[in-house]
Amino acid sequence: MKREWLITIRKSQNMTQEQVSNEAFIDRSYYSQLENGKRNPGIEVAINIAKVLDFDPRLFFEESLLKDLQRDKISISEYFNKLSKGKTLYLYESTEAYISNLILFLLSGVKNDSLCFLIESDHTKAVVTKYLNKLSIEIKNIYFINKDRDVDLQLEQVDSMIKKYKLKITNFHFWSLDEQSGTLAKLTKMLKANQLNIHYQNTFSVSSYNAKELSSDNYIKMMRKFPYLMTDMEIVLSPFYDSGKNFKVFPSFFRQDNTN
Amino acid sequence: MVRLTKYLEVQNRAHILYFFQAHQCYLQNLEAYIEEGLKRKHHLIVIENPAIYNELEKKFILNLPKEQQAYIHYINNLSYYNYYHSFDIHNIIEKFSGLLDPFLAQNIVMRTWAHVEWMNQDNIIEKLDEFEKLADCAVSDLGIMSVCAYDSYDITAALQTKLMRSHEYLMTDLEIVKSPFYQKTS
Repeated sequence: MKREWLITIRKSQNMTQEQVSNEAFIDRSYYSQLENGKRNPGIEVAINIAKVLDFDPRLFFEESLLKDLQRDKISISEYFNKLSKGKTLYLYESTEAYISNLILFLLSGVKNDSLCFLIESDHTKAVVTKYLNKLSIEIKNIYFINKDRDVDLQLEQVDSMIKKYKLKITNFHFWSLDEQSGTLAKLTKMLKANQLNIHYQNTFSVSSYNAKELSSDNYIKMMRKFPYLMTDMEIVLSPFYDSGKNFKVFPSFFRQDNTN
Repeated sequence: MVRLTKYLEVQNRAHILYFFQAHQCYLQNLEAYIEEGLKRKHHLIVIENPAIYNELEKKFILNLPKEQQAYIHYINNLSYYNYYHSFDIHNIIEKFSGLLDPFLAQNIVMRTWAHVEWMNQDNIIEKLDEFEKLADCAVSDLGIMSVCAYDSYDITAALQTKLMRSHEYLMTDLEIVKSPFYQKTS
């Protein structure tokens, strides 16, 4: 579908496709494909074009992600912005999509006045900080925990910070990558110890894993623990969560025979 | 409408993706699928690994009356999927049509069970994804019931999600659910 809004903005500024693409350091045919909706920009390109035409780059992601997916699928940005709670399993394939979704998540956290925690690598922290700075987003309520360093020490530092500033936060956003060492559980425990009222209704967590590295049998096990499943493009309800709370679960062929 | 199982009623056609883990459950599910088909007088095309099929023969098939055994048509999955060479999508789809055509020509109702196996090779994820999309169209067009079985230890979550887009139902050793990712292709 054509990005009519992008064409309108460009024309309102009396610019040609050639001029916009030159100033945004991209090929004109690529820009033309973006206008025609044949391709989606990465976050860097989105920011560059937005600067040239002076609009909020989130428009690109809102527009592309807000396309309501079929049936009961929930769009990622809608989910991030409106639900603001829930436990989500994210299996990513594209690093670029991963970063875009992480940024959207943090933006929704900031918008929601949440205390946000990102349990990730220093590299991702640097990339995310760069984008948030470009978007002029304050990161005062976003805490980074390097998953590859001494987590306990970092949690102590966060603990001191919370005590020092006597933070009164009522919403929480957690994003973690390859969470296997119980960091999230330790973090939650520490927040509770600080009398922060943290519970399912005010907590939004995304646990992410590389879909190309996780085996199918582990994926199925995880589907039973998370109510929401997310890919680079969509969010759906998990069919196996909580003994089929979301979906009807039927016995497999042989188990039906046994119940005859 | 045809009853897929005692609990789940579906259209005449159903494309079921089965991720198996335990060998015994796998055999039991295959046996139950065949048994249900025989009850309905469906012919069964079983594309299976020779070792597994031998086991099933000894345990179940050879105990069936001869007239029922005649409803079961075994295909060696290693040669069907060209296991020792390249996974050639179009060749496999052609073979699939070749298998089904004689039944369709005589309006004979059949169901299929295919245990998909392959050797490590370049672009296998893309090949399997494309293959299953084509297979979903075929299953839909032909109005048949078809199970595609994959060893869940052999595939990644990325491939699983792709396959869930081309199958309306998802089965584990113990359960069947509707695939939340299914995208109807026709």
